[in-house]
Amino acid sequence: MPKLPDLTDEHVLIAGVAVFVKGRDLHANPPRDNETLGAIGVSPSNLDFPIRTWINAKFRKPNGLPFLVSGDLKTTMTWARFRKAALE
Amino acid sequence: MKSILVLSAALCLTGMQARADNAAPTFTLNADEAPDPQPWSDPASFSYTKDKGSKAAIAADLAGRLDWALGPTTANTGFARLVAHRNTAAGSQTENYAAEAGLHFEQNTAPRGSTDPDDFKNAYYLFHDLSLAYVYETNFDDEADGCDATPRPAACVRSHQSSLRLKWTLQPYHYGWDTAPSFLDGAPTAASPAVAYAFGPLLTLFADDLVDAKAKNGLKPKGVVSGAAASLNLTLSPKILDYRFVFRASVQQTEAFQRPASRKTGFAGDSTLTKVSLDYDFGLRSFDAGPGWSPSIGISYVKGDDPLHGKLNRQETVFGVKLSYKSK
Repeated sequence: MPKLPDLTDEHVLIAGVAVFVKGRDLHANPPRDNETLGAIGVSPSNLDFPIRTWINAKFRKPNGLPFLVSGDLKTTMTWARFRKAALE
Repeated sequence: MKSILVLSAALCLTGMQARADNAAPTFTLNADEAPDPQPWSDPASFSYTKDKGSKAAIAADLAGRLDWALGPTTANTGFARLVAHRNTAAGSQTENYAAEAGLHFEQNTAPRGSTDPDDFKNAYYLFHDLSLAYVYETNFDDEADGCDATPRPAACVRSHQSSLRLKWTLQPYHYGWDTAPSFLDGAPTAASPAVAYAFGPLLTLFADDLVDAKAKNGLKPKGVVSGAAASLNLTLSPKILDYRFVFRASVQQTEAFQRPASRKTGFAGDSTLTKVSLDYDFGLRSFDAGPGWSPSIGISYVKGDDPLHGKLNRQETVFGVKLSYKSK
């Protein structure tokens, strides 16, 4: 994934999640704050295995934030809540 | 064997006390003992049947699990679980309870230090659950119609046994083993799959040491049964009715590596359990499980043996309400 200097963490988050979503182009139709991850097309297994592990490596560890554990992320989370869980 | 069990218990307890200062614990309720509920996990179920002129019967499969973080710089967790499998119907009697504590830890093959999501997409994942359980079980051998009469007929033998069970459950995963529906403005997108699916294998290695059992037919069962249970699990959900119809199927094969002579009658050398179900999710979809209650109604068919949960010679069809639950 290219690292552009003007990319915000949320852009990086959308680009990362887009890698795992087949049914919707998240670049053309980015997630809205009140949409759930399930509606966006994220499967529970992808969320709990690769996406959570990637978030820990990309955002949590470098920023000294507590790691997300299995079950912390759910497909019923809204995008706004997911963004907060991933980045804060 | 006993020293291994005691050592494992100490490890589990040590893990639980270590730095439980990360996120709030997560509670989940399901029917089975998978490391974490997946779309293919069976929801917890409870059914009550009462036919005219016959005795009422209940059937329940419940597994409640509490997970908590072990520290801020690890994704590993400690967990405690209570499991109940109970069926009071004549011919299908089951009574199996377990209290369990353990450690959950994770591995993946993504390159060390990588933050490229494609690396995590291409990686293989392995979840481990290492646990120690106290299991209490009722043996309903020789149960037949009329065994619920008072006084109880002498031919109906019922005894109890309890054991310490060490388990190591492995759950692998790779991207592509499931696909989920996508929605835009509440409707499935054109690119959303015609059939959403998820499948996953589970492997459990176990050692079960009887700590208390009553003699039956002059033979008191004792000793350790060790073995493995492997299962393949599949869920399919078609696009019609917004992916609310869910078909689940699983096959579990249990093989005992070692069985003392006194336990050979109570624990088969190899056994197969097949489960098929069709449910309609009228709350959250199975592909959106949690948080909160996720109710469904459906029919399940179970055939075969599951000696680890006291289910022997099973062939039953159950229609009822099912529930999954996740906190947070």
